[in-house]
Amino acid sequence: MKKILLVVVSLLLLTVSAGAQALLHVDDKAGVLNYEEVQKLEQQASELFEQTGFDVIIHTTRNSQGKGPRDYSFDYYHGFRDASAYPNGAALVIMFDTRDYYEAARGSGITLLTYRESHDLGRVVQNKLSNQDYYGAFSDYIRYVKRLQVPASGVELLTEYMPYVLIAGLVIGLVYALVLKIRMNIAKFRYDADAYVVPNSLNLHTVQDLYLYQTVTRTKIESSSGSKGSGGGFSTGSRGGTSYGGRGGKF
Amino acid sequence: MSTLTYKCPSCGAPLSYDGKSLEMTCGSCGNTFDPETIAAVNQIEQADSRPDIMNWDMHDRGFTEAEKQETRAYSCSSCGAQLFTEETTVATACAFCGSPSVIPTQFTDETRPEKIIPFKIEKAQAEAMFRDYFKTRKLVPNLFLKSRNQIDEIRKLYAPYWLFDCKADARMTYRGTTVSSHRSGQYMVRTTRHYLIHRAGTLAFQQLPVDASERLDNKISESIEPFRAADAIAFIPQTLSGAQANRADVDAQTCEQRANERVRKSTDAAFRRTVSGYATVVTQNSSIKVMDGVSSPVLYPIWLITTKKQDKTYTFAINGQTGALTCDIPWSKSKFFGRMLSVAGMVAGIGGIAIYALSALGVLK
Repeated sequence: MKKILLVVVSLLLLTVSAGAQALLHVDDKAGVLNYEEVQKLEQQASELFEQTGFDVIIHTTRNSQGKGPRDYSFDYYHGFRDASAYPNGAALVIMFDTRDYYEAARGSGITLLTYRESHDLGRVVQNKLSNQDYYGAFSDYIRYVKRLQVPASGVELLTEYMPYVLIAGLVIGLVYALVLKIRMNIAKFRYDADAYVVPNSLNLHTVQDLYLYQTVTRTKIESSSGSKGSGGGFSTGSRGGTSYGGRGGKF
Repeated sequence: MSTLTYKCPSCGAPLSYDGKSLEMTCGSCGNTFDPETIAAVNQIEQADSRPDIMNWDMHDRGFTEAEKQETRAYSCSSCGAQLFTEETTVATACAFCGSPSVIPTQFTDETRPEKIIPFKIEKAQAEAMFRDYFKTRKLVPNLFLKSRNQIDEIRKLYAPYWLFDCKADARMTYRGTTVSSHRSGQYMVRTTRHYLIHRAGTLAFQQLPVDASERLDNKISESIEPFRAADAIAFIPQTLSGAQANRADVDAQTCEQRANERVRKSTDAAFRRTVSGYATVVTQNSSIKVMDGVSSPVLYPIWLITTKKQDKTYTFAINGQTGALTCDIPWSKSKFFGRMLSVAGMVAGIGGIAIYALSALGVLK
C-alpha cells in the first residue's frame, strides 16, 4: 500500500514539475536571443512567478500583422496565455517591423504597471532596445517588475549601487589627497599679479560688442527620434471578457 | 602711397562693395557686411595692432657717502653670493651656502634699498614652524620621519626685491559667438552669431615684488608672497642689525621681464572677465602698454632654514612678516595614492553599510 502511495505521489510531483516547465515566459519569434539568453530569462521569469504568482511574458516578432501595437499585444497575450488560469501578469511585446515596444497587462498588472508614469517603461527598456541589447532590456524589465512587488534584498541593492559609491569614494579620496598636497606648501612660481592689483582700478574707456555675421546650420530630425522617450500614456481594452491595460513607445 | 584693403572678418578674403545691396560682399565665403561695421572692425584692428610697450622708471639713487661708511659688503669666497650688513656686524657665515669664509670689502656704488620690512616672526617661532611642518603634513616622505629633522642652519635674511608700480593700458580684441536653436518643421535650425568684442582701458598695479637675488630661488621667494608693503619703513643701515642682507645682484631691467609676465597675465584675466554672455570667446588680439612704470629696491624679511638628508640640502623659507612657509622637499607619491585609496575605501565601506541599513529599514527599495 505504501509503495502504491509513493508511486502516486511521485507521479503527481512529476506532473506538476512538467507543467511548471511547460509554462513558457519567452517567445522569441524574431530570433534576437541565443539559447543561453533565453534560458536565463526563463529562469528569471520563473523565479518571479514562483515568488509572486505574477506571470511575465517576453515576446518578439517581425510581423505585427498590420495591427497597431496595442491590438497586437492584447491579442497576442490573450491568445498565448489562458486568462482564467493566469489572471495576473504582463506581456512585453517587441515589434521589429514597426519598431514598437508595448506592454499588455491584466489583473493586478494593470494597477501595478499600466497606471504607472507613462515614461516609466521607456526608461527601463528603451535605451538598450535602441542599442540592440535585447537580452539586457528584457532582463531589466523582469527585474523592474519584480522590484515593484518584492523589495530588493540588501545584497541586490549593494550590487546595484556599489559602483557609484566606489566612484564617489575615489573622487572624494582624490580631492582629499590633492588638499594634502597643497598643504605641503612646496615652492612654485606665481604666474599672476592679482594680489597687487589696486582695488577698483579697472577703468574701461571702450566697451564695444560689434555684431559681424551669422551662420545657420540645418539638421534634419530623424523620424524615429521624434518618438524616442515617449511612453504614449496608457490605454485599456478587453479580450474575451478580460480587461487589459497597455502602454508602450518606439525604439 | 599705401592702399587699404578691407578683409572679410569671417574668412580673411578681400571684400568688394556691392552697389545694389549697398553692402560689402565676400567673394570667398559669401557673407555680406554693413560697410560701417567693416569700417569699425578696421579701426579696432588698427588701433590694437601696436606692440606691447613695457618700460619702467627705476628709483635707484644709490647709497650716500655717509651710509657707505656705515655699511659693509661681502663676497662669499665659497659660493660667490653678494652680501652686505651694517658696519659693526661681523658675518660669520654666508646666508646661502653657510660657508664661514666671507671676505669683507669696502662698500661701493650699490643699490640702496628705499624701504625695509622689519621681522615680525622671531627665531623661536620660525624653528617651531619648521618642526610642526613634519608633524602636520601628511605627504612628507618617510626619509624625513625616520629620524629627528635637525636644523642645519637658520638664517635671518633680508632679501632684496624690486617693487614695481604701474598702470597697464590694455587694448583687447576677442571673437565671440552666441548660439540659438529652434525647430522648423523637420529641421533643427542652429544659428551662430559672430561678434567682434573690443575692450580698452587701464588697470593699476601696486608694489609687485620681484626677487632681486640670484642666489634665492624665485620659486621660493614667490611662494612666500605676499608681503604687506604698508608695514615697510624707510631704510637705514641700523635696521640690518642682527641680520644678514643679500645685495641686489639682479638689476631692475632683468626683473622687469618677470614683472611684465605677471602684469600681462593678470591684465588679460581682468579684461577677459568683462566679456560675458557668449557661448565661446577667443582672444584675437592683446596689446598692453605699461604706463607710469616705477621700480624701487626694497629689503624683505625671510627666515631661511636648511636641513640635510642623505647628503642633500633642503631649504625651508618663512616669510619673516606673515609667517607663510614654503620648502623644496619632495612629496611622497606612494602616500598620496595610499591616502586617496584609504579614503575611497572608507567612503565605500560607509556607503555600503548605509545602503544595507536603508534597505533593511525599507527606505531603499
